[in-house]
Order: sequence, then C-alpha cells, then structure tokens
Amino acid sequence: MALLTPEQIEQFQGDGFLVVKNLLAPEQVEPIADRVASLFNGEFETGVYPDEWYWNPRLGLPGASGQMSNAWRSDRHLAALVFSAQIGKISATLGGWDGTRVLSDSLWMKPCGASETTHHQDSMYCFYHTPQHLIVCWIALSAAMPGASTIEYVKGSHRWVRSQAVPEFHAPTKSYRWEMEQAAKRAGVDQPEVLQLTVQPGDVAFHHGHMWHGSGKNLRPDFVRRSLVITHIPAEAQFKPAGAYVEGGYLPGRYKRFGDDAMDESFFPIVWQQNGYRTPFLTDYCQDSTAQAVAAQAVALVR
Amino acid sequence: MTNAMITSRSSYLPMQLSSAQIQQFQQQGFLVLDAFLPPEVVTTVDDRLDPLFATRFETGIYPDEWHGRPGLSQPNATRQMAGMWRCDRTVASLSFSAEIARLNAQLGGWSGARFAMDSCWLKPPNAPEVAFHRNNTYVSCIDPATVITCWIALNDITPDMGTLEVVPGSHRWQCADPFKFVHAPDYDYRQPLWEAAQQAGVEPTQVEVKAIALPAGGCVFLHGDLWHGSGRNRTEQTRRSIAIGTVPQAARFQPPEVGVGYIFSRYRRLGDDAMDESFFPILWTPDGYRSAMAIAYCGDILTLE
Repeated sequence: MALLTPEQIEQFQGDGFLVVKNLLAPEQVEPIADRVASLFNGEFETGVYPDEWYWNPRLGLPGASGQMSNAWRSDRHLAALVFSAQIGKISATLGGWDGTRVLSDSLWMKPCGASETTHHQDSMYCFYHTPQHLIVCWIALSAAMPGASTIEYVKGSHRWVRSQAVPEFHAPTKSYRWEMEQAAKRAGVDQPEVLQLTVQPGDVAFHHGHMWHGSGKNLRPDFVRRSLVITHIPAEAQFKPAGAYVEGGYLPGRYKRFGDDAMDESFFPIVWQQNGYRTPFLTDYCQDSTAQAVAAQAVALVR
Repeated sequence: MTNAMITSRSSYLPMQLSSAQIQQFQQQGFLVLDAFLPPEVVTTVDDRLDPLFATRFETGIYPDEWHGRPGLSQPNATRQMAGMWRCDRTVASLSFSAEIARLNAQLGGWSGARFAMDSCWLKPPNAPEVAFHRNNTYVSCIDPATVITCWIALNDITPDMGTLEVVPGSHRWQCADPFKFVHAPDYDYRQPLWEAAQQAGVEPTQVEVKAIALPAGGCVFLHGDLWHGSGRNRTEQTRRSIAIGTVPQAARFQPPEVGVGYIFSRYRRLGDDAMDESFFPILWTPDGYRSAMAIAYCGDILTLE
C-alpha cells in the first residue's frame, strides 16, 4: 500500500478530501462487497447486531437505501478491513496524529431508485470526543459514478464551521443539497463547488470531518452502489467530560461508562500507532485484510 | 418534556401481587393486570414515541435497534425500537422504574433486578405478523439467561389489532427456540410454535393460543420461556405497546462464544464478564440500591415518595 506523497497531503489540506485510486486490490474488496446483501438480510456471522441497521428485505421499502453502522461487531470479514492498520496509518498521516482509533464504520447499499442522502458534515455526529479530530475513509465496494448515487464533495467546505445535524438524513423532502447551500451562505460562499466522484472498487476517498458531502439518487437500472465508510479519530482521544450521558452522542455515546471519560478499546480499538501498538483483541478477533496484500501502487489523484 | 417535569408525583399506587397471582404466573407463564399504569403516565410516555421515529432524540443518542424507519420502510411496517432509554429520559423514567423492576423480580423469584432492555412496538394498520418466540432466546449470552418482561398497552388493544398472543403453560415445554429475526416472517408466524409443541410432545389440539386484550395502561408480565407472537393488525387503529425486560441483579455475561450476542454483548468489555452498570443498571433491590447512573440520568415516573 502506497504511502502518501507530500502533494497528496497538501491536496487533502486544501480541498478537504483526497481520492486514492486502487488503494485496495480486488481480492480485498470483492469478498466484502459479496457480503453486503446478506448482512442487510440479517445474516450476522457473530450473532451480534450492528449498532444501526436500516433496511431489511421484510420491512424495507423496495429500492430504498440500506445503511448499517458498526457492522464490524457482526461480521469478522468486514472487521478485517475496518481495522486495517494501513488505512489507519493513512488517516494518521492526513490528520497529523501519532495513532488512529476506529470510532465507527458504516455500510451502504443504494439500489436503483434509492433516494438522495442529504449533504452533511460527519462532525455533526461526532463532537463529543477530544481532541475533536475526525478523518473519514470512504471505500468504494462497487463502482460509483454520477447518476448512480456516487459520493459528492463540496470542495473546500472543510473550512466552514460545523453546523447542526441535518433533520432528514435519508430520503429528504427538500433538495438534498439545501442544508449545505444554507451553510455555504453562512460561510460567505455564493457558488459551492460540488464534485461528484467516478471511482472503481478499491478506490478510496479520505475526507475531513467538516467536509460537506452527500449523494444523489441512484437512477442507473440494475445497479447497486455499495460502500464502506470508516471513521477514524486520534488514538489518544477520550470523551469530553459529561454528566449522566453524552449529549448528541449518536452511537459512540452509548459506550461511555458512567464517571469515566476513557474511550474503552473494547469499543473503540486502536488500529495503528507510531510506536507499534495495536489493540490486542484485534489479533484474535479478525485478520487485517490489508496486512499482506499490497494493492497496485498507482495513486492517481482525482479532483 | 424535560427531566424536571417528571418529578411530580403520579397517581400510581404500589402494586401488591397476591399469592394467587404469583401462583398463576408460575403455572401459566404470564399474568395480566388490566389496570397498571395511570392514564397520565401512559400519555406522558406514549407522547414521546412518535418523535423518536422522526429522529428527534432528546439526548442525541440513538437507540439500540430501530425497525420501521420512515422513508426507508414499508408504510405498514411495524415500528419497533429498543434501547429507547438512551434517546429520551422521559421514556427512561419508565424503563428504569424501580416498581416495574420490583414486580419483575418478585415474579422471577429474584433478590434484585437489573435492566436488560426496553422496546416499543407500534403496529400500524395491516402491520405484519411477529413470529412466535421465547424472550429467553434473546438473552442467551447472559448468565442466567432468564428475563421477565412487563408488556404494557399504551392504547386500548383488541384481539384483531395484532395483539400479543401467548400460549399458557408453554414456559414449561422442553424444546428449542433457534434465534431468528421475528418481524414479518415469510412463513406462518405460528410455525415455530407448532414445531416447539411437537418437540415438547404437546398435541396441537392441546395448544391454546390466547390473544391478550388490554385497556390502555394494562399490562401482562411474561415469563422468559413463554411462547408468544402476534398476528397482523386487521383494524384501522395502530397498536401501541412498550415492553420492559429485566434480568436478575447478579446476572453476568456468559463465557465468550456462549449464546447469541444480539444487542447485548456489544457492551461486553474485553476480558470481563460483568454487565457494567453504566449499560445495564440495577434498578431494584430489597435494600433500596439503585445504580448511580440510573439515579443521575432520570427520575422515576412511578416514584412513590
């Protein structure tokens, strides 16, 4: 797996995102892509439910988006990619951290007809830890392209301040860019530049926690857009002091122990650290699917 | 509603179960109380549920399980949410009620009660069936794997609303109940029941399926091994209910790899089989102990003093 060049790091800092082509090899991505449908069908290898599970074939609206969070608890094959030390190291490089901890994962399945995902900042849902940094890694499990619900970024929007959480995340009734456009106005930006990615399986996009992003409707017949998202925070992170609960704690706030600010490695493992440390349970729980195979070194940049 | 607003005393009066009621629970596996929660408590809690399904969480923390999310689910899908106490402290004031924990513990013959889960089930018109199952199947990663559930009607529930169906005495059957997803089965929702009866040597003609009709505020206590499920809602009314399950105070996690983790073993810390009181607070003991987290987090909507 290629290390980042200074130019790539500079691009990330300037644009708020960086696309690394062919970061993962097909043999690293395809087995995960093949498990997506069965996971949404409730086939959980470990018997543990993911932290979120929106859409299943029995109750779900045909053609609606499927989203699942912290599926690493449910499937060790998927966990082997979520807990990649190499990907964690890239996030640490981009964030300027000594080490990387996994805050959460998110698995997406958007079939033809799936509605838009409202533009948002991931930091809207992750502001209860300190240091309050966040690097998000978006892995294409399938191809993604304009017109088929690919991810789209608002260039430079990582410099805008964090907004309140959007009221309608899935299937919005307003334009899926409306919230972002209001934030742009607040930031003094008249014409936000929206870039829709065209990527292949194994391409990976890294983005800053404040980056505005979302996706349009999938209009491509017989095409299911699939992606896996990993949210990284600095290894040293802990919860901000809180009372009886973590206000706005979304999913991670569930795991804060009363009277203890630590982010327990049972729930938030450290995947890479400069001194070689890695949370011990990961060795027993799953392999690191990026530890051996090295993807093609091509690291063409996409703007 | 803020936490401060639920500190006013409700009209709830402490419930003293008679020895006949306890005996009925032991023999039948369930106990119905037509009058349990006062109307103001029912209204206060029920008013909190629809906002949760609109992603309006008072605490900003999401639930442990959520089915029937608007925009992603079929219009008639059952709206079920578990771990609502994390999202809303008014709901938590019922979920963490010492009184419900006391009654569950008394029926279970336990010396104290620890919170396991809360779950609401909102079944709109034409909501699908829920497959027959045993609640103990879903706590199999806990030792002891036994849960007592207080299932409360939040509106008047009639048999044709897809109400709870129970099989008296089935808590004594010697049979298996493989873990399964219970919503909208693509098979006869009673099929697991018939298979269990056959395994237990019970003739189908001897299996009594009893539909529970309850007025708002009524409740039924369920033994963890009681077979139960529910049919399709064939009315124009939404069936609204909330269930609160507790396990014995001394419960711990089973050894790793024993049982199905479901939504519970997420909270298991490495190398530790304790059920941390931050996640599974102790709600009632005879000497009055309650976990510090529960005391700090919310009031008790059935507070008696």
